[in-house]
Amino acid sequence: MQGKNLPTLQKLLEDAGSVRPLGELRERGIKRIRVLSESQLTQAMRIAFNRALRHQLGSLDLPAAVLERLREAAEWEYRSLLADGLEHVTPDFPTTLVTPPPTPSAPSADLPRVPPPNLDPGSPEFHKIEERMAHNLTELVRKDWRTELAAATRHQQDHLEALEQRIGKLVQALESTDRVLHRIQQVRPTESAPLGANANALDPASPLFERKSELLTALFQANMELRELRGAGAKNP
Amino acid sequence: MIHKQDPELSTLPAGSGEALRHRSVEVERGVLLIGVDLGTSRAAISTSNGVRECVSSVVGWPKDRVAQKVLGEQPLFGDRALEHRLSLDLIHPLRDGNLAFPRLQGEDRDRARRAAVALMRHLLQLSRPRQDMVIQAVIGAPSKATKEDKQAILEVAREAGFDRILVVSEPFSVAYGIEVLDEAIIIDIGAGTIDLCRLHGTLPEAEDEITIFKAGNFVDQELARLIALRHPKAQFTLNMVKKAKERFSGVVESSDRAIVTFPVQGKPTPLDITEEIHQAVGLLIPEILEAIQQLVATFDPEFQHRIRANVIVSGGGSQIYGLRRALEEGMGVIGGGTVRIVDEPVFAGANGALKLAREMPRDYWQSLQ
Repeated sequence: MQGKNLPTLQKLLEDAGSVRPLGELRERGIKRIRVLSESQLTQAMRIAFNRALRHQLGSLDLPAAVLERLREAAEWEYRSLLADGLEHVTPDFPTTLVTPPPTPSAPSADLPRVPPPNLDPGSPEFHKIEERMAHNLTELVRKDWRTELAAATRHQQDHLEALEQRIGKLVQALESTDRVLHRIQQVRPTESAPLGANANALDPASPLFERKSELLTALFQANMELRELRGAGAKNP
Repeated sequence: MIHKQDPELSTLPAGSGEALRHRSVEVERGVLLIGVDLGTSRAAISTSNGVRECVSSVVGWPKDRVAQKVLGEQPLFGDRALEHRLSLDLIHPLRDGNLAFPRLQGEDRDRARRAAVALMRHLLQLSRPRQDMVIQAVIGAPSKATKEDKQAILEVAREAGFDRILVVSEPFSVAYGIEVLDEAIIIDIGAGTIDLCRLHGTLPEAEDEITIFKAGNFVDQELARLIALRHPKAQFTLNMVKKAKERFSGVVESSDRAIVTFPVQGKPTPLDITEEIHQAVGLLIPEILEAIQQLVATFDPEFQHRIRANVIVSGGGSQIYGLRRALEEGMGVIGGGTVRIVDEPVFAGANGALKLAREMPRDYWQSLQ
């Protein structure tokens, strides 16, 4: 197909299209017609091609000459389609040829298989393009790897935080338990002993036994005097 | 056996053990021992059934029927009373460490007495006694409490439902709790008073005790004065100043700044009161040092070095940052000394009183009925 001598785009559009009298169009209810020139169509095609190329090839850094050749090849294909007839072309023709651009973060599946057109595989230019493509592919893989690593790290950190929170709660539970146990230990079995028993009395074996006994006796006597004074005061106000 | 639920068990987090969740503290019929520290600002209790509570020494009754409807007819206590103070008649039953009513007349006396009984009753309720228990309490009084002050405590406690009561000097109570009974000086820094007590193996006598009537409340007033001087348009209450002091007294001699937010003409405004706190809190140091020197100077000269080496500080005011160092430096003029702060300074008095209650012989308790 590339050996064909293709007519101009205008000639192709004239041949591919059909001529209708204005009266027929009016009878059909068509009151207005949008007229496009060959240059406008060509420009639209070039814009569409550039966008598609950009989306498909991502951040590939292709030489201008390669890009120009890709455009020429696309235009040739476009004209070839027109020359072969547009019967098979659906009304949404432009969108079926151009696949929806992938999301910027997702590398295009076509990326590794886009061949530089009309380039000798043994030529230095071909090698340069291959190197660039390899480099860009590597960058894409690395970005994905880092993204995956970041996601995995985040997941681990979340897991660690959850574990640390659980440990904190367990520590609190242990401390509360310790306090309760300590308090229970403080409440000796005879703490609130029946009246008549005093198991909390001073331990005679304690080195402070005598000193404490004296102090407690003195304290008791001071309080008894206080009551006697109070009683005396009540009797003699 | 009668089972009694430990209040803390119900708050244990899930997974702490089913056995503990459902276990109860077994309390036999008999006696409940309570140690009470009645302070001008805060009252603390420590009981033989494991209760330890500290409440602000304030009682409030609803002002009118509307307040009664909202808050109920019963008086409110502590922080709850302070929170609703606009709807309450607030009464502080303690002043300068003692019950206030003996020094009042007429209606003021009656109201203060009623508040004192209500507060004591509230403290008893906090102890969670069973109905059949005999309540035996040791209650701390300031060093220089008179016999009338101590009798007032007996009277109020009896009316509140305590069965057997012992009144003891508060600093002595602290000393007994930490088993320091000889050759020491105890300094109890409260809101109304700073009580110093010299221990030499016997029950302290009048000459062994000094009370300084400049304490936490004095610092609050002085701090308020200094703040008003520097920020004349700032709006604040003594309660706000007190909270700021308690929060920031630790910044004294540290590099942190004490920044509070007080309204200035209605607009919340950050104010730096670091210098004011430093000044106000520092006013206590010379007073304490003077009292220490007096107690040391009037002690047996052969043993003065021993009590200088054993100065112990307790009470809420002991938390002032740098206090220990300031006192030790100040004691340099009398030959130096060693100062330490007790563990749990807020409960030191109540804990010591509980220990006294536990070790008091049974016969003595029975005689006190």
